[in-house]
Amino acid sequence: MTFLLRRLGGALVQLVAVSALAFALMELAPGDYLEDMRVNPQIPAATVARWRAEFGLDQPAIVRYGRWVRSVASGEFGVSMAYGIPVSELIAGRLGRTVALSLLALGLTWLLALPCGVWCAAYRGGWLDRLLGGGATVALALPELLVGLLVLQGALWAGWGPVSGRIGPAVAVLAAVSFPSVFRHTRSSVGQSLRLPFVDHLRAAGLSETRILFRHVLPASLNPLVSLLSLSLAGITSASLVVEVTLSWPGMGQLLLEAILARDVAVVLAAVMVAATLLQVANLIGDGLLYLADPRIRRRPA
Amino acid sequence: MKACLVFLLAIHLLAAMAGFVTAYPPAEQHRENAWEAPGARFPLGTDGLGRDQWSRLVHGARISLCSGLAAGVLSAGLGLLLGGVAGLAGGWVDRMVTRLMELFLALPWMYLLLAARAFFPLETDARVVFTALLLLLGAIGWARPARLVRGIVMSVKERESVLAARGFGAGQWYLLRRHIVPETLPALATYLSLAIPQYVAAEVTLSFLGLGFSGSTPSWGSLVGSMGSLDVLTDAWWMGLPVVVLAVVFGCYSIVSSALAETQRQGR
Repeated sequence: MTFLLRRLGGALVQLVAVSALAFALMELAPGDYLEDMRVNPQIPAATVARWRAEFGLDQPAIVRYGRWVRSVASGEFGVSMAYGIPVSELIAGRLGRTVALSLLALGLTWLLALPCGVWCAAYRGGWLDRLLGGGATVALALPELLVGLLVLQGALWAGWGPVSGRIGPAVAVLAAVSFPSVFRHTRSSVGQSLRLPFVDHLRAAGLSETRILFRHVLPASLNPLVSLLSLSLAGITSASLVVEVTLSWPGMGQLLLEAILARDVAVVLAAVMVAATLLQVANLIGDGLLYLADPRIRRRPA
Repeated sequence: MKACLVFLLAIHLLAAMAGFVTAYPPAEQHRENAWEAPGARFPLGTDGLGRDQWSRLVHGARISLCSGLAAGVLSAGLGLLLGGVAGLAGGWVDRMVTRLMELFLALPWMYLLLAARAFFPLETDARVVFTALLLLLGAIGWARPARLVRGIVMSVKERESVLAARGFGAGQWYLLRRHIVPETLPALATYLSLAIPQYVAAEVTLSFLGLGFSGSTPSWGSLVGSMGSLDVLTDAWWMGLPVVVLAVVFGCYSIVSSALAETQRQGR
């Protein structure tokens, strides 16, 4: 249990660090909302000063950071200047869409990449291995933006009409972008396990090749893949931001972009914090799975 | 692999000689020829302002490739410095740097990049954008090379040849120059071959989102920026050609970096 508790502590420390970083960025940014009012000749300086005191902006940065953290911890991210409604409401509407998109893409990626990786490791040099291996190599560095644009364009050329705003194409693009790394890792990890002596034993015992592969070799090579699971979710979360904008899926990514263009600081900070929290949760889940899958971790000294 | 290297070299050469291989400057507007399909005069057609797409593609390669290269080198340099210091010093310095590294590796970097970008003015001079982009990418990307370098330094400094050199009275600086830094170079080269296309992609993405170079500066990002609108996609099919070219460029990058990583793995 200490392993998981330590990971939880680490996650909290990282979240605090992210919040400090985000707050520092906000502090360093030239000017603020009231600064724009101060230069406005129609608003008396005394009024601006009173507002400043009212909003607590005259306090030192460390005090304000403390207050901000306290309100964020209670789920309150302030009020969006562009929309005029609480940021938490704004995010609640978008978060579900991003989470749905990311989880669907994650599921699709692993459902495809895991069996393909196992198969290609077993039949190295076969036609599927050469096809997928070559494809994965080419696609490894392909930016999600270009894949999204190619899909948009391809759908039009194929006469399917506009595909933006639908979840299917967005999931497909995300899965296509994250497929290569999961596939390659599965293939190499299973390939390593296949060289272990217990495989010969199973073959000698007369088990079918498919059964050996999926019932015995795959579980034995799962360990690095479990760590990869949370990493691939992190990658998908980052990539989904771009895919959402490209294919007009109204999730957190679009919200963040709109907020940046409107200089809506509270929303920007909230979006970053929520994304960072999502990633930490994903990492914790990954650690938990690792804890379940590998008994050695439970006995590792702290 | 060879074909990809040749293709990438050709792209870089074209970018370097952009002025010689294009008939018009990238910003020159031929208003009477707006939205013209590819032909003898404009090989890749023109955009809504009548600008030559071929010229924009070739000139855009300069800014995009340079940003990728510079940001990659910057992050590798930072990584070499911080990872090297952590690996050599050990103790609390190492623990601090490692913590920081884990933090940066765990961040959703696209979100961070956009958030950091949010605090710079939107419309600025191309040079300012270039510098800001460079610093941001370098500052966010240092963790991966640092982790690589730290691992190598920690194993190299215990190696017998290094211990012997130390025993012969070699100074810290000499050890660093002759034994430790050279060992990290192959790993850094592989890192760069992976990172440079990523940073080029970051520039393209940021400019596409309207947060990088604006349309008046030719970059690959602002070039594909017009693809965001459906009218352009349906009515001007040739505007998609640069996307296809870019996809081929990135495909070549991945093939080359995979080959590099493979040779390095076999060399060990």
